[in-house]
Amino acid sequence: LPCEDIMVRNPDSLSPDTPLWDGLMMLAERGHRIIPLVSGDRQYQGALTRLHLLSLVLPDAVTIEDGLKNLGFVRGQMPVLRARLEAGRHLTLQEVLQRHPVDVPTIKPGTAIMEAIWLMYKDGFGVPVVDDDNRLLGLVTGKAAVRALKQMPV
Amino acid sequence: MTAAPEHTAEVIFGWSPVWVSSVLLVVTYAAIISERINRSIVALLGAGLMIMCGVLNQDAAIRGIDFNTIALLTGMMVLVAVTGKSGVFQYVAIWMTKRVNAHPPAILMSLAVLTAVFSALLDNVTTVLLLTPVVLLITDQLQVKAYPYLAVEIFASNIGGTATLIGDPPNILIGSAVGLSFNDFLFNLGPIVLVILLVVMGIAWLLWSRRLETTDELRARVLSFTESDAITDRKLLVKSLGVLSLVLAGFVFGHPLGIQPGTVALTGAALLLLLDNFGRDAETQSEEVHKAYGEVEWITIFFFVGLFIVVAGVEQAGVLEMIANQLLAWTGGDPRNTAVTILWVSAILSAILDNIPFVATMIPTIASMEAELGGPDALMPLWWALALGACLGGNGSLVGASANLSVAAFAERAKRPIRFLGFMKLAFPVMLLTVAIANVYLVVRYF
Repeated sequence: LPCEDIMVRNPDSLSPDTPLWDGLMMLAERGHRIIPLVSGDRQYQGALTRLHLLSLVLPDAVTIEDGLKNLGFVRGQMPVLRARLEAGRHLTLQEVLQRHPVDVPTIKPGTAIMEAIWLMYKDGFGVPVVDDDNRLLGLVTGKAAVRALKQMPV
Repeated sequence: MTAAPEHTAEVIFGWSPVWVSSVLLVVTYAAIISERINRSIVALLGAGLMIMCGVLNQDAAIRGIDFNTIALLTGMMVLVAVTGKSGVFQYVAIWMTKRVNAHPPAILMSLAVLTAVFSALLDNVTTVLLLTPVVLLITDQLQVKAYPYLAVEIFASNIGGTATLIGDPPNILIGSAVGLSFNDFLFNLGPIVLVILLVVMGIAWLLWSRRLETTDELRARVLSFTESDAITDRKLLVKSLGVLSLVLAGFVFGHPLGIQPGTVALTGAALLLLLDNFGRDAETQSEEVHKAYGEVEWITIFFFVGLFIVVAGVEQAGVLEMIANQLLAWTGGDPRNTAVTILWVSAILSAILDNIPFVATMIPTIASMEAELGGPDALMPLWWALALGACLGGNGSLVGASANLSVAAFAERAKRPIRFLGFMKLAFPVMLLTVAIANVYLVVRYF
């Protein structure tokens, strides 16, 4: 099966100019792990993931490569995390993606489903499906993959 | 099974070994300096060509590799990698910060001492890799600039590393080639390193102490850190500190018994791996040991292997003896002038170039001056001059030492980049001052 057979068509998406707060609300309220960002004509511009949210609130000393491996000694940080989130509130989603780059692979509609499942296993979030002109066609998610598997004859 | 035919060294096309080896050395060094190709690839290619062009035969090339240095570096890297898993380095950094009540200028001073001590006893790069994330976290929490702390960390790591046989790669190379002991380094370089560290701490205090301000509320945040929670594996901590103590004792007491530091370090690494993995199933053991070996900086190890062979090539061809004679002609064969020249040339070159190839080349060059200067004892001040110049010179710029580059890479990732020229404006004069102090020390103590 190619990915286009199981992908969610017309998934929730946002414009890169959307304020961070609106993006976070959509992540939290709809339970998404990933929201593709598209400009006019559905041009894919990247994706907001839960990792972006975590990168915003955690100190750089942890999120950088080879950073701290354990933070159990840092106590009483909830107000600090809240302040960090507040400080990033004015950013647009595009700015968030620039400041905290997260590698989000994309796939083509004809890509084998196995590849999409492997990418989801590796990264922990859904995989955007784009055409040759980089237009967003859909999103392969864990739920969509399970649904497709359940519908298959044993 | 038939034995491989013995490889005889005969330079291709009957060319002069002096020219062929010199050209290979210069091309290798130029490629290392250009930094366009990874330095370990360049060194290994240079080594391969040295053998294939017939400057060295296979046996001479293998003999040229200082396996004591390789074993010492590898053993210490494994030891520190396994120890680091316990969280002890974060523990000490946080404990130290709390001991000075999280006052930013006091943290700056204690960071200098801590980094210098760790760097003296462990590899510099590893020390800064373990300390920099904690420094970034603490400065972030206190909302003070990270730059003064990172700069002090660079200075202190190079200065601290100068004090011991195992502190800095140039010292490892010199100690191994000449047969100097851990105590030889500590007694000859320790006192002046202490003076230099205090001077640099004084400069840092004058430059930054008034500008590093925070609030009581932010300090309270850092003071609420529970350092004991930084320890992730108490059993491993006890085992690691036990083995590290044994290894240090081995460096001190092994030398008179003829046990080389490389043997001590690798045996210590094996002992710690045994203690850490004892009782685990085969699969977990395999994973853990694989991870520990993965922490070895193989680029550095292969770089050393290649470089040893390249230097062996020019040494066998007689090029280094010619350089030594030229150097002695410049200095009039006077040991004091020679030592001072070596000190300053090493320092300036080490500030802008990789000091490892320079030191690797200088060791046989200095060794060949033995007869001219009057025996091995006359060479001792020259070895200290080389160690002081190469190690302290590393402070002159961001590219002066691998530890500097590691700190700069962290700073870049944490979006607090250290500018090359901005750092050099401070670092180069500081380096010159420290080398001037070392110069006075060398002259007063040895001549």
